[in-house]
Amino acid sequence: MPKLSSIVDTEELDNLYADKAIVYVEGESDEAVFTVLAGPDIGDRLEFKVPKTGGSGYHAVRDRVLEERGRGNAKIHGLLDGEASASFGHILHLIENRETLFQTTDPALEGLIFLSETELENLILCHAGVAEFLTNNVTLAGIGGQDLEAHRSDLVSLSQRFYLLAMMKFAAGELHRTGMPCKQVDKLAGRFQTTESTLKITREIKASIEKDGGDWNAFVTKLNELMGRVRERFTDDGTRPPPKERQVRRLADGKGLLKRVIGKNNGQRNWEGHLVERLRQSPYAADFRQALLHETGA
Amino acid sequence: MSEAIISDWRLLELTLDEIGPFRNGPETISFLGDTPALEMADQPPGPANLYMLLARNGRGKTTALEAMHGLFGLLASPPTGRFVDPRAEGRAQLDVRATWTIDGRTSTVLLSIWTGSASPLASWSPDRLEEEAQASQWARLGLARGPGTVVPTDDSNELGLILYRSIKEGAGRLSTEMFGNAPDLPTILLFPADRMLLAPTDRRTVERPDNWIYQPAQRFGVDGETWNGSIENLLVWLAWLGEGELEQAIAFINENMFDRDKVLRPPSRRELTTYVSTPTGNHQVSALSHGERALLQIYLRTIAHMTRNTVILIDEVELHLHTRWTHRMFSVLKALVRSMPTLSLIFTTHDRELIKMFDHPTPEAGLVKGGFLITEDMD
Repeated sequence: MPKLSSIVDTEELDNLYADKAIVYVEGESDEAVFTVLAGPDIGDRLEFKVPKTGGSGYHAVRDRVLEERGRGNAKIHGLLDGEASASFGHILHLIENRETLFQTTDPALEGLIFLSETELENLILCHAGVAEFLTNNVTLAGIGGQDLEAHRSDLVSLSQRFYLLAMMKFAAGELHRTGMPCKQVDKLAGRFQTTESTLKITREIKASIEKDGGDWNAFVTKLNELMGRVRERFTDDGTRPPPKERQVRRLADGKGLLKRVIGKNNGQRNWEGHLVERLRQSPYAADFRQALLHETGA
Repeated sequence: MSEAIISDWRLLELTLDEIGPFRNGPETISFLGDTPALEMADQPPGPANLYMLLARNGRGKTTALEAMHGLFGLLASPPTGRFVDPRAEGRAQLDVRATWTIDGRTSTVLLSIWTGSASPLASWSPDRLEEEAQASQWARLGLARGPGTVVPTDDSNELGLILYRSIKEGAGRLSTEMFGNAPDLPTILLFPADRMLLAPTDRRTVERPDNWIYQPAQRFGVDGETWNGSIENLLVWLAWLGEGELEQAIAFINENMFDRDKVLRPPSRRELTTYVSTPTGNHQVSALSHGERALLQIYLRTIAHMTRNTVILIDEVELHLHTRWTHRMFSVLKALVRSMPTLSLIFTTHDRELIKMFDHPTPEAGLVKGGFLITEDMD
């Protein structure tokens, strides 16, 4: 029976009193989307929250989860983008994961649950039927004038572009953790929104890395290693979409890709709300809910 | 015969065993504060004067409140509360730090009052007495229940018996003043979760309300079923006494309860009925909303029945109230605690917004905050 003096702040007290699974997420938009996906009838078992203290980002969630679990509340969890697992040193776990959500065995990440996708936007790109949305996003006069296959093909093509960006970021992150300065990819990520070829952008990144005294060969080696691990999952198993398309879209830079898709189709940011609604109606929502309840024990 | 004059009264601990959900050996709830008052930030907090007891349903918070009320209820005339029945299960002990003046000598005493066993459930060694209770003497008062009787156990000592006799002699004495100005003897006011304020149905007369007397423990559950136990009778009685208390009480209610759109009026002497003026006309008190009646009950009963040494127990403080009213009432109660150095408030709540508003780590002027979360793993 804890005295309140053993409870650091009102948030921790609220969580202990609530006596249900508390899932910290990075921001209010994540909270809103995950709440929609999890459905309206789990409030007695699980609640999403954004940490009120400790800054923002993956680390704020991780620190908060570890802090509260360290004081004995095993019902505290965090739900983060898949790329967070990479930033914590578990990129291979992300690449090889086959579940809707996953946890690592790293004691320093106890209680943290990761999306199988790089970012929340990848959920939309993978499961919300974006090509179908684009086909139907027309005026009455435009009905039948859109080519679904063309949108699908375009999405595959753009996914490849932003998959490369994500893999470059992951490779840079891996090298950064070994002490090699490798911020050039992040600095030039915006170039992927242009119509420049990936070859030209890659050359710019190479030049930037070498200018800053970085090791381009080490970067390429790490990039190839990671992409090789992803390729191991490309074996055609007869499912649709084919594994390569699925993995590329799952691991692409989701924010960049979705922004490009919306921009290229003269869309607005508020398309995101419509796409989240499509995501809620997709089979993924049920998978997400089941996986979340399983991982949290709620 | 010696009589104790009490000038301070602070709960320290409650120990329960084999009562309600407390079944895994004696469990102790400490009432020491967790956060010192703002002006005393560099000192240990001491006993709390604002205390939040939290638990899920069925985990024992109501049991704890009723046990505190029940222990002092055994000293009431007639005895009242959950321990009155000789078959009442379990053991309970309440430890209180008090400053007493007996025969001109003032000392700080740790009083243990218990029932359900011959000896205290929790013992206070001289070291513990000095360090934890900061008291120089241990007063022990065990209360044995028999059919229709309550008597001190053999393990009680003379100090405990002095308090016993003082309270027994004071119980039933007429109240004369409000806002804790009389008397010195301690009292516990319990507002249970099944409280409500009803309109009395029997004949209205000018007569002293039944509970307009000193009692060491009072419970305000269903309030007003009979005229003699109703708030309206209390208001009529105060009007009849004509000593200014009614005006004080009405001013307090109007200041703290209504947004100027409503005004509690003095009782009509002709009808012996109290009205509230509203923009749509005058309405009887019983026509107020559940929330307004809940506030009226807590405010009026508190200021009318508190003594200089009072512990208020409110179960589910947010009951019947919109969240804004809960916050407002909480602010009023905090102000009352600040204004009365020997008043303590212990409350339970299920309102997570209020739990955050209580903000246990943040010091506030005049408030020593404390609290306890009863969890499943009561070890």
